[in-house]
Amino acid sequence: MTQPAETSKDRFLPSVDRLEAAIRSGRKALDGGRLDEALREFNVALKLKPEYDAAWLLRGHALRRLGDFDGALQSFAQALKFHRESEEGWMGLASVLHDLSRYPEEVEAYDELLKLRPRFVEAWINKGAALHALKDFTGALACYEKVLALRPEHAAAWNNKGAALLRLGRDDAAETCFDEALHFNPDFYDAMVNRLLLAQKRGHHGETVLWADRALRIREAGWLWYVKGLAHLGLLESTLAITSFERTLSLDPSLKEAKAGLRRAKALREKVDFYRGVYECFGTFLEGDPGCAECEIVARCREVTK
Amino acid sequence: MSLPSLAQVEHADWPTLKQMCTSLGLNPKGRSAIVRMRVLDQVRRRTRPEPWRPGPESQAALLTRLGFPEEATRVWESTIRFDAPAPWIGLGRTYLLAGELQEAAKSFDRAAQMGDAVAHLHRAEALAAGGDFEDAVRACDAYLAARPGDLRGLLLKANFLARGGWTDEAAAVVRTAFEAHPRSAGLWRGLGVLLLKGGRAEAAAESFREAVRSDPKDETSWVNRGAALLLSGRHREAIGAFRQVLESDPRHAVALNDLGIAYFKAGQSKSALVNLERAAKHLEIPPILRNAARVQEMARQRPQALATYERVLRLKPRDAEALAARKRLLPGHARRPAARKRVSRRPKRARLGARPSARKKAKAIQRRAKPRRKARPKSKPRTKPHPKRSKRRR
Repeated sequence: MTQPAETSKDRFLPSVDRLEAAIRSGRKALDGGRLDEALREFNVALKLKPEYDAAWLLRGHALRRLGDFDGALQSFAQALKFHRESEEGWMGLASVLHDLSRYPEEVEAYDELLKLRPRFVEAWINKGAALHALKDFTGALACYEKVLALRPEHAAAWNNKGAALLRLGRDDAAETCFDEALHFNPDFYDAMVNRLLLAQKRGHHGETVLWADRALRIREAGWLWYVKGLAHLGLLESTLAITSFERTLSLDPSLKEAKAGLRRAKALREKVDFYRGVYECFGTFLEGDPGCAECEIVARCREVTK
Repeated sequence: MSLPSLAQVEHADWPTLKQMCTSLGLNPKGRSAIVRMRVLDQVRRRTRPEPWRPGPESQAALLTRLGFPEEATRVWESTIRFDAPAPWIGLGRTYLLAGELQEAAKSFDRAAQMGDAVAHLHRAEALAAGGDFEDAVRACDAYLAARPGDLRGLLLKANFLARGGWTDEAAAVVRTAFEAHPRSAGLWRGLGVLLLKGGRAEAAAESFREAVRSDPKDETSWVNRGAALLLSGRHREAIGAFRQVLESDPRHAVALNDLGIAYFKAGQSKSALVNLERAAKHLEIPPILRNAARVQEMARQRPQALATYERVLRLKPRDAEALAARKRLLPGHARRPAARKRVSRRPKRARLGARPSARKKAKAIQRRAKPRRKARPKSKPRTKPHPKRSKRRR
């Protein structure tokens, strides 16, 4: 005789069991990096319950990691169709739009999210970054101000604010922001790099070398070595400049500028090669500083400091 | 010298800063801001917490989780102390993993003797794993004596009672748990399931009614309430419950299937068939397909029923019911009842549609009785063409 669907011994909803199992194994596969398997499981779950927003979200994440941004976008859109207040859904949608370089729509997505959660710091930060990409630095600055009003110790917000100010030509304010960022997170690579770029822009070679050294301790990059090499050239330290350019070329042999820099450094060594010794602050002379007063190479340092 | 604090470094004057550098073995030369930064880096690095390393207890627990019971047992034994129950529990879990249920129960017993109430629950699990549900329930009681009204203990007890076949007692325990924890609305659902398992469909329906009252969006409870109503013969109410689910999720395959069955039981085969076919469309699994096929067969839709059984066999090739139905429904097989053929006076004709009524039958006999004749031209010219049927008959 006919019976209710699979009046199973353990549960009375076999599809819920299957749904839960599919989601669980999909999540496991996603965490383990088995993206195809995860996608398969989420598709099974969606076949069982097509209006399951969590499954759409997970599918979106899997597709995004697989590089199928259009598919991920559709999945997040579906998730939001069924659950419009989903924070994760809006964040996912915005991140995919960012991957697709559709910044105006990304900003709109964050606006929608911020209507729901006006104190959501990550959304403010990301909206600021999207506006920065759209070259709306004033708008971006307003977003970072909002974050700092909510969380004054947010290092990333300080750094981003500094970057926006740098683009607006307010170098002094930018410097303060980078210093704040590094105060709250002394190992903040991006803030170090921004500080380095500011020093380079101002032609402060000593500071450039200092921040390049600190950034390179965290993460090595060919262009950082190149900038450091240029600063050493400015400080007339030809041997250190040669070392830096050689390291640049070993990391990125195609960089023509580094080759030119290496030639210049070698030519400079024929004329001058200064040795800084233990003074890592060489080129950052400060009048009245007790350390500078005791320095053995203060005369030379004063000469190269701008 | 002890490590200075970050605040001390930040506010230190130049001589103190140099002194700090010397004591920390750092280069004291350079601009003061840079030297300060150097000291701060060093202090930060030195005060960073050491990375976690697993102790023997953690190693043993990991080995148990990873499925190496022998190694885990060895490590657990090395950690045993006479005043700590935790290693005994760990050892018991390892024995449980290795399938040594008696040893596991002994270890948990030892931990319980040291005053660890949770060990009783572990012991109950070990006993239940060996099929001794009576003692498992007793162990739960021992735990509940130490922690009266504890939800976990009550639910485990109910579980063991249900597994041991004492469904009424299990339901009573769940009821107690609900009284002790009125906010745990999910318990009504658990109680309903237990009652349904125990064959008390009416009481189960009441439990599920409480569950949906506390959470009207709980689809599981709505469907289960419908199933309970269906089993207790209240078809109309069951249809209402399933419709409630389908209002929020029209593609809920289980609700569609159950609604189909409810209609079928209420004598509405057509609606039953529509819902079952929709359920099978959304969730193609053998039980739903079988239900659809049965209803089709009963509605004398033999080709459709056969096709549905074929779908079942595609999913589950050894499905006994589908195989038997295919044998039964195949056209050749159905028209070969040998004994009847022998006794019949005239050869039987295959009946494609439904059995004709007595009036239709009489008409058919009349038609057969009429002599065949050729079409005669009529006096009046025809304005309409002949209907096809009469043409064919001629």
